[in-house]
Amino acid sequence: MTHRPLRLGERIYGLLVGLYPKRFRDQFGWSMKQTFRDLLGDPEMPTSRIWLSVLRDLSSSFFHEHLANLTGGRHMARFRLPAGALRVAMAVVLIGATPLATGAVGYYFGRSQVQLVAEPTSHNFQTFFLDTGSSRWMTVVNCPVDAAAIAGAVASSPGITAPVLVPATAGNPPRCPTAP
Amino acid sequence: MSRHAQFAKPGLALTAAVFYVLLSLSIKERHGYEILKYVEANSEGRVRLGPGTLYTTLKRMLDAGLISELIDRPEPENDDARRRYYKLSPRGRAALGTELSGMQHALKLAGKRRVRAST
Repeated sequence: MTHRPLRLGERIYGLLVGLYPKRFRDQFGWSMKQTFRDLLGDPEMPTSRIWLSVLRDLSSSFFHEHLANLTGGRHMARFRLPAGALRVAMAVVLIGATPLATGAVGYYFGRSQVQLVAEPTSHNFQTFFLDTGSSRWMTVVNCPVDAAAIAGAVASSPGITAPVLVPATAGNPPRCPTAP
Repeated sequence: MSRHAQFAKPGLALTAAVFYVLLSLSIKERHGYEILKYVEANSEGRVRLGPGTLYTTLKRMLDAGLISELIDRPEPENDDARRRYYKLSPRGRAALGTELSGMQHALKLAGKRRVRAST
């Protein structure tokens, strides 16, 4: 074994090995990591194939070992779990866990924005467009509808607004254009 | 059925992974990565073991007494002190022999019936 800094792949694999039952990990954890390291160092082995084999491992040996750990290894002697059923179980777990995981990460990184959205400052989250004709940055604000501009189709009402593209100025909130 | 009985029963076929691991160890003692490479190369890619599947299979085989861990280490220049080497046990050799004779019988039967392997 070479004593060099661990690559990212090795660290990730080390974490995955940590998910196996303790008894199995104690017996084979080091050997699994060493075999993974050997695979990474093999020039004939594409990295994508190594990770595919790791995913296959997770969908079969991982569950087998946990089940064997729970039942004291008795299930192995009695019946063999169909690989298809294990893969379906793995897919269900992954599909179920993904929104939870991404939601948690999204909340963690985006919580400051979530708080700002609740504040009554409408100009905090503007989308800006570059007007290539005038080389000016433009933004959209909701402005009161001018009944004359839309040929009397809608009666003018301060409650009705429509998006209007207006120039964006640094430091100042965007303003609706005044009627000529 | 105990694990010993599971593998000792003549009619019970070994899984492809167990068969190729036994075959690899019938030639010489090997460590995990050597076994993995041997299985992949000699099964022509039909059996691909990841590290997890490999050690799950080895654990089952150790529990069943088909293989054992090598106590005598290889030559120091070819050895890594932390690597584990495995060797075939007499039970494993018998299981491999039974499996091979079953295969030979099946091949003979297929020959008689003029069934050919598709390539």
